Amino acid sequence: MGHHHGDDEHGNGLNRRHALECMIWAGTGIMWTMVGGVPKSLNLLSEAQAADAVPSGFSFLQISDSHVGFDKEAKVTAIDTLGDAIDKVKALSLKPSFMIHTGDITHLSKADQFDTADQIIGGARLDVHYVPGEHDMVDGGQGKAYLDRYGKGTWGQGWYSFDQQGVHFIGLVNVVNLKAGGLGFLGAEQLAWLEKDLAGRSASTPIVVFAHIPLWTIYPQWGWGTDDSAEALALLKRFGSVTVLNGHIHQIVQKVEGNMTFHTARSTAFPQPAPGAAPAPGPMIVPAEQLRGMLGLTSVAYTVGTNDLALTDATLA
Amino acid sequence: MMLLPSRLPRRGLGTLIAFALLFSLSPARAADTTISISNFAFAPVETTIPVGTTVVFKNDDDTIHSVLADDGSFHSEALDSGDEFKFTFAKSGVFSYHCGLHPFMQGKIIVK
Repeated sequence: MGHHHGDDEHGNGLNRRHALECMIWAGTGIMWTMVGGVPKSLNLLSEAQAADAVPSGFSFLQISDSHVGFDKEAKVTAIDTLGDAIDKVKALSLKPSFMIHTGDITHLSKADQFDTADQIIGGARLDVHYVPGEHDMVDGGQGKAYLDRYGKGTWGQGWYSFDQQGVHFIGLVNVVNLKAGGLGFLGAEQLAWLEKDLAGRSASTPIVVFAHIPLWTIYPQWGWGTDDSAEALALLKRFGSVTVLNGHIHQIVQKVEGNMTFHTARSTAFPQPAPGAAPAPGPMIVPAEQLRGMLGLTSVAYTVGTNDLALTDATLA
Repeated sequence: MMLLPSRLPRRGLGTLIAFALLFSLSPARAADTTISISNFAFAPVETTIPVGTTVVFKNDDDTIHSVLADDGSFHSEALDSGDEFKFTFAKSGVFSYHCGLHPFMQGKIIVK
């Protein structure tokens, strides 16, 4: 599984694409990672298995849509469940290298909501790389509150890239300057930056792209897609391993296309309906005892030399 | 006016009377129209109103929305559940607007 294109694509054995298809059909809570060509299920909190899967390399966590300030289900607030998610992170004995947060940190971009989120997430004692959700950019200053806090060293409305042990991470912003009738939007300035950021990088560099709104079209009737994501994906096409991590839709949806793996994370705050399963994509208010089973976080493990990033989802239940 | 203390200085009373006159002389205001934001949609999607009408956009959803003119001529802050945004249309014309967070939500106000 050193390469997941070329020979593997046409081999008789179970290749990465097949394994990921299995993962999609298996639904939530379980993932498959390739160890010596044998697919193996892996739970986020199963330390021994996680350690086995990452003999070298590193892992990181994705949390998303914490919506601090949302309290429609009065018995269990977004603050409570974000705390539960961070408790799960703190309990890990195999420490992730860092976390990413794919936006909607807050519900209303208020200073006290950002403060509370920082305080709770800070409890994990991990570096956190943020991208904003549309809920984080609705202060009077149209994003100033977010950018003052998390925008240091970023470009434009908060996009940036960084490297970790040979993997190139790109945080994109697709929640500002949205066009009437449109979906998420990256814009020409950001796409030009992306082209420059990728120029000269070897096609064998594993790439992880993360942004709030899905970078592929899941359900345009509910705005679940990004108008100009095809332009970004075209720039990424030449790379052998591209993992696209998004939030926004508060549920797991996955797709594998060529060398690109797309995955959305659960929210830590509230679930949203499956595409078209309700009149609108608003918050699903579920009984408190069911709520944590519909919330969660994602772990991503990278093994040096394989180029395969293993995605694992776990609920807060 | 009956509750005013009798010791109110003459000038203060005069100001109050001037205010009262001002209000009574202003033209009759068109009745407010309400547009509900519900299930990620503006209802009604299209509204025709006379010039001078104040439109009340009320967020009846469980999440936040906003109201943003396509041409940027008016916009609300983020509206939490139950919040309202009022805007008075002083000129005739067709005003298309959308939700700044969920731009697939669109509406139109025709002012005649």
